[in-house]
Amino acid sequence: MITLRQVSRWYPGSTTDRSRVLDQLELDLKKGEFLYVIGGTGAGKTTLLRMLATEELPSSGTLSLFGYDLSAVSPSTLRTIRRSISTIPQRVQLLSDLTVFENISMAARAAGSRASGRDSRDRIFELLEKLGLSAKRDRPASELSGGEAQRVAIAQALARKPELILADEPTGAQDPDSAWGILDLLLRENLSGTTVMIATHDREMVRRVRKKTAFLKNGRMQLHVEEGPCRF
Amino acid sequence: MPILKLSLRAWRASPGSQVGASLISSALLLCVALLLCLELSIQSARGRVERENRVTVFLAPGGGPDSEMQVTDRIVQSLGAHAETPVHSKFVSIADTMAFLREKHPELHAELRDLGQEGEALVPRAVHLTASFDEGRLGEAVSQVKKIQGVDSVDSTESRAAAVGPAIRGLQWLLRLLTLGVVAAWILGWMALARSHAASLSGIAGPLRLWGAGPWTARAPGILAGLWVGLPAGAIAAVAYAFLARPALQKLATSSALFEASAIPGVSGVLVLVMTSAVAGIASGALSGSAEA
Ligand SMILES: Nc1ncnc2c1ncn2[C@@H]1O[C@H](COP(=O)(O)OP(=O)(O)OP(=O)(O)O)[C@@H](O)[C@H]1O
Ligand SMILES: [Mg+2]
Repeated sequence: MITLRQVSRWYPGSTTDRSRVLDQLELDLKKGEFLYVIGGTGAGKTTLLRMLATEELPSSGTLSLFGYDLSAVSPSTLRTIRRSISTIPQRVQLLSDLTVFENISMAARAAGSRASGRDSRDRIFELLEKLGLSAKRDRPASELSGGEAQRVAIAQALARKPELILADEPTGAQDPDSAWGILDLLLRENLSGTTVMIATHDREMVRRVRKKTAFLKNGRMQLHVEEGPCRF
Repeated sequence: MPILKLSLRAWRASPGSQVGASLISSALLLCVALLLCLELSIQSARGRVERENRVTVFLAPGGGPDSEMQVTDRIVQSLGAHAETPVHSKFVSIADTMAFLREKHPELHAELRDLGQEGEALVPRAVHLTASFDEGRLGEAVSQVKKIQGVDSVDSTESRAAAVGPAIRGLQWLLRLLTLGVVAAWILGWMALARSHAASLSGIAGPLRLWGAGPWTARAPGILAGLWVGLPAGAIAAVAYAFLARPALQKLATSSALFEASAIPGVSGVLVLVMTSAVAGIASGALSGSAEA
C-alpha cells in the first residue's frame, strides 16, 4: 500500500546532505497495518506524512501509494488516491464560518461517497457522539477550543471511510483521557481493515499500545517491527 | 449547502463592497451596451447613406398637373421595382423653379417671365428621387424610367454621401475606442473582484483538493461568489436598459436620421446583458480559483 524507495526530502536553499530533512527512507506498509512514526521536534514526521498525503513530492526517490508512483500519476488517478486517504493535520484548520457538522459533511462529501444523505448524516452523528462533540454539532467552528477542533478533524478523517489514515499528533491537544479515547477509535478503525499511521512524540502511548514503530532521527529512519516488550 | 454558504462569505463579510461592485459593474456593462447600440446603428445608417443614389427625371414639356402626377407615380413605381429601399420622391413644378429663380437669379427670372408661354416651356419640370440600389441595378432602373411616356431625360448620381462618409467613419472609430476603454475597465474591475474573492475564500480550495474533490468542486465557491455579483449586476443593467436606455435610444432614432430604431435590441438585449454579466462572474471565479490551486 505504501512503498518508499530511497526517498529523500530537502528544502530549496539547503541541498547539502546534512540538511536533508529526510534521507534515503525505505518503507513498506501493507494494507491493514498500523505504524507509529516517532521522533523529536523537527525530526521530519510532519514532512513524511505530508508526502504520503500527496501534499508534497519527495525531492528524490520513489514514493508509491496503492501501487501508483506519485511522481507519474494522472490528475484523475491522484484524485482517486486522495479520496482513499484521510489526514489529521498537526495544525488543524477548520472553515470557521461553517458549523461543526458542515465541516465534517464537506470532508465526507468531497470523498465522493455516494452513500445516501441520511446514511452519511447518521455516521457523522455517531462520530460526534463518540468524540463528545454532540453538543457542538451546530455551532460554528470558530467557537471551538483547540482540542475540540482537533476532534472535529478526527471526525472529518473518519467520516470519509478512508483506506489510509495519516494522523499527525492526533492527541497533541487532548487531555490524557480523551487521548486514549482517540487512540481507541483509531485502533478500532485499524481492526476493521484501515491502514493507520500515527506520528507522535508521545512515548507513553507507544509503550502502552505496542505496534510497529518507525523512529526518525537526523533524517534517517529505523524500523522496529517486533511487538514485544518495550525497550525504551 | 456548505459550498453555497462559503460562496456567500464575501457578502456576509462586506456586503457594501459587493453591492458597490455590482453597481459599478452594471454601469460599465450598460455603457458598453449603449456604445455598441450607437455603433451598430451608425454602421447601418452609414451603409444606407453610402448606398443612396439620387435620380433626377426631367419631364417632357406639355401636360397638365394631372399628367404630371401620373408620370411621377409611374416613375416611382418603376424605380421602386429595382430599388433596395423605399423610393422618396419630390416633384419640382414650373412654379417651384420659377420661385427659385426669382430668389437666386432675378434677371433670368424676368427674362423667362417676359417670354410668356414660350418661356414656361423652357423651364424644366423634374422629379427628384432618392433610393438605394444594388450594384448595377441603377443603370437598369434608369433605362426603364427613360421608356416611360412623358419623360424627357434622366440624370443619376452615385452616392451623395462622399463627404459625409469620412465624418461618420471617424465617429465610428471614436465610439469603438470608447467601447474598448470601457470594456477594459469592466474586465479590470472583475479581475480585482476575483482577487478579493480568492483572498476571502483562501483555505477552502486546498483542503477540498486534498480530499480528492474535482477541480470544479474546488472552484465552486469562487465561481458562485462571482455569480452572486455577476447576476445582480446583469439584472441591474438589464432593468436600466429596458426602462431608461432603450426608450432614450428609441427617441433618438425617431428624431435623427443617423440612428435606426431597428438597430436597438429589445428582449434579446436584456438577455445578453444578464448572460454576459453572469458569465463574467463565473469566469472570474474559475480563473481566480485556478490561480490559487
Ligand atoms: N516548508 C519548509 N521549508 C523549509 N524547511 C522546512 C519546511 N517544512 C519543514 N521544514 C523543516 O523540516 C524539518 C522537519 O519538520 P517537520 O515539521 O517535519 O518536523 P516534525 O517532526 O513534524 O516536528 P514536530 O514534532 O515539531 O511537529 C524542520 O527542521 C523544519 O524546519
Ligand atoms: Mg510535526
